[in-house]
Amino acid sequence: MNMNQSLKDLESQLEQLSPRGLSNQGRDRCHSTIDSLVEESGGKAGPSAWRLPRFSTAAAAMVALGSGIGGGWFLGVQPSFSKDEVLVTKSEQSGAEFDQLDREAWLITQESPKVYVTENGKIREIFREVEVTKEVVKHRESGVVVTVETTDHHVVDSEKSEF
Amino acid sequence: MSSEKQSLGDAWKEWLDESAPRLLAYARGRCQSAEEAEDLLQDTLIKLWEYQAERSHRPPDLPLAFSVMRFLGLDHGRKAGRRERRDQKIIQFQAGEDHWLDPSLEDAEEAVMLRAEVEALPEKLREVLSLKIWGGLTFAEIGKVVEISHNTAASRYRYALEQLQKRLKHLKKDHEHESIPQGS
Repeated sequence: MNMNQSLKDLESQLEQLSPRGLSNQGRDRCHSTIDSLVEESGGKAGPSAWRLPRFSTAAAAMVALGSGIGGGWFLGVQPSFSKDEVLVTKSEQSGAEFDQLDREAWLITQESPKVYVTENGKIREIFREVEVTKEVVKHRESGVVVTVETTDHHVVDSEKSEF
Repeated sequence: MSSEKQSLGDAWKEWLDESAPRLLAYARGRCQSAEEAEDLLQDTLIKLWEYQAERSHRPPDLPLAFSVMRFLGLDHGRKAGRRERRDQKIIQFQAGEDHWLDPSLEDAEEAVMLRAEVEALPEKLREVLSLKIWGGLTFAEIGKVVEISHNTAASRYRYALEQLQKRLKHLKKDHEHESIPQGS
């Protein structure tokens, strides 16, 4: 492809814009996912079980308050939390210091049901359900609003009524 | 964990650390926020692991990773509507700017301008530009990822550059007009 010099200069300028890397939290999450994938390889668990929710890694019980919360990225490389960020534990969040502003929950079924026959001949089906809950709460004293997302994995085992 | 599993895990982590900025730059073009882009990257990682089962789970080639990410990104886009209301709430409380590229320290003003114009490009053009400049793919590889011919990939890339060049010229001209003192 023939390009004039000014377009080549523009290309060089674009190359100077470096893409941002993973946040520290995102990197930890991906590394934990890799560990789980490697550990479970050959096991029976479906891949959906390996996806680690945003708030369930090393900082599982922690909820970020302040500018880090909505995935706010900062100028500079990979700073996942700002200096003035405050961290509270989830148990504190559920206490009386917070007012709930909004709550949403939805289900994601990530795998098809597996049908099996019990020892006494009953036909049952089993599948994994993923429930995501999103809560927006406000800290009464500081007025800071926090969004908390939790993901729960449920195994649903029930009698199969129809085919 | 056995040493074999340990070294496989290390290989994937090394691959991820090396490839993440490129993949994230592409993911950002398909997602509303940095967090969503990281989620998409994590989903891509899991799907790639499945794909690589036939190849002893060795880390994948970058073009395959982009293809998988693109495929998952389409589904991600469909789910995005459902999440729009939720995300609006989050965006309100974001204090920092949410860009996906960092300007270098030199010529920061022009780089910031350029970044804004890249982000404003039509998706089809930005996609090819992102895969070429930050993904490091050839036009043939881009063609496979985006499911277009390599000639179309090259045309889109050139058109994207020309659009950017045009926009930057306009902006610079406007900037010069603003800096001329009144009455001179």
